[in-house]
Amino acid sequence: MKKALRTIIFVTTDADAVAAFNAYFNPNEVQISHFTSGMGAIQYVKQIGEADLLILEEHIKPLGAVQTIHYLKDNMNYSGGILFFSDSDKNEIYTDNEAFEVLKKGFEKSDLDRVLGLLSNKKKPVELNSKPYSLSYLINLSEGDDIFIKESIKIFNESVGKRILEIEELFEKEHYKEVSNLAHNIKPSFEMLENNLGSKICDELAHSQVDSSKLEQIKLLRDEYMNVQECLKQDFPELFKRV
Amino acid sequence: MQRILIIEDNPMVVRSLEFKLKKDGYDIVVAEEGRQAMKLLHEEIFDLILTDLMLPFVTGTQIIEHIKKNYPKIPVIVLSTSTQEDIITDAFKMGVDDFITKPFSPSELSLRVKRTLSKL
Repeated sequence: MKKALRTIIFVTTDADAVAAFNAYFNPNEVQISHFTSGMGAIQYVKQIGEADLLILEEHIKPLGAVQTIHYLKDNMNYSGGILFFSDSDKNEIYTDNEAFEVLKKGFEKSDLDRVLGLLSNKKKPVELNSKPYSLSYLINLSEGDDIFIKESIKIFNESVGKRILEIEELFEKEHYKEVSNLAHNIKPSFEMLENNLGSKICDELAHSQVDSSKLEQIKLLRDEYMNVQECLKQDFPELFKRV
Repeated sequence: MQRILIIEDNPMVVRSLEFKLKKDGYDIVVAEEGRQAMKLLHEEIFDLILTDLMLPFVTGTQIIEHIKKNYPKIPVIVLSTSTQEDIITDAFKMGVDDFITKPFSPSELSLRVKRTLSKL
């Protein structure tokens, strides 16, 4: 997966708007993290950090845009840009003492140009993730469901570790076709944790001729898995406790 | 409630599909390999099948052949990696209804499943 330079959290139930956002922003190296409730945005900020822009549908349920903003600002000192997504005729919506610009529903390309302009005006781009993994895909998928995310981390740790062991054994026995098949099998697991190196090695093992010359790649795959695992252990020690 | 059979052997992908589709209101049954899938197809009724193509024991292609021969009314969506274009083309020639690349986009999954089921 290509790393986006900017991120937008888009909270809306309007699937057409999300599709339009992805079509417009992805080629501009902007990643759209979509949630259908404010809770998803809160989980994203907790786990990943602030986005360049947060766009909230005004009357989204159960946690409305205003409540979500209150939570983010009061509890998490959120300081990123915020827009309202609304069918209101107003150009600005006020909450307490703050005014927020409005992106109107049924927006046109010129409106998206304006949003892109807001991102471009920001001096500091989002810091690229220095960790060998990211949870943004899983957070996006589950709208920040903590149980699901932790369960997925456990599954990654157990299933990928087991598969890599099998790959090493099969490679020693020169069962190269099976090595390719297993690499193909675990590739999505690396992708779901947005680990590019693991995914790339799996892709190469899955789709090019595997023979004894691939030993280095297999070692590299093991190392990268260990690298991710170490980082996950530090971030989620409770998941790695032995019973 | 509409029932979906997921045939997939990557546990992380399975868990994600299961999570998202259950949230969308479907009843989900999982088979981690082809033989188990064939047994389930024989014993239970499904409205849709989501299947990987590279599976242990029985390949996805063999499963699709089996479904199209014995359960031609059940739509099939193939789960694939983006680098399997030839295999995907072959799957379409066999009569599959759609395909989704792994790791899937949650909104795309919902949309494609809904659209395929609405054709029933």
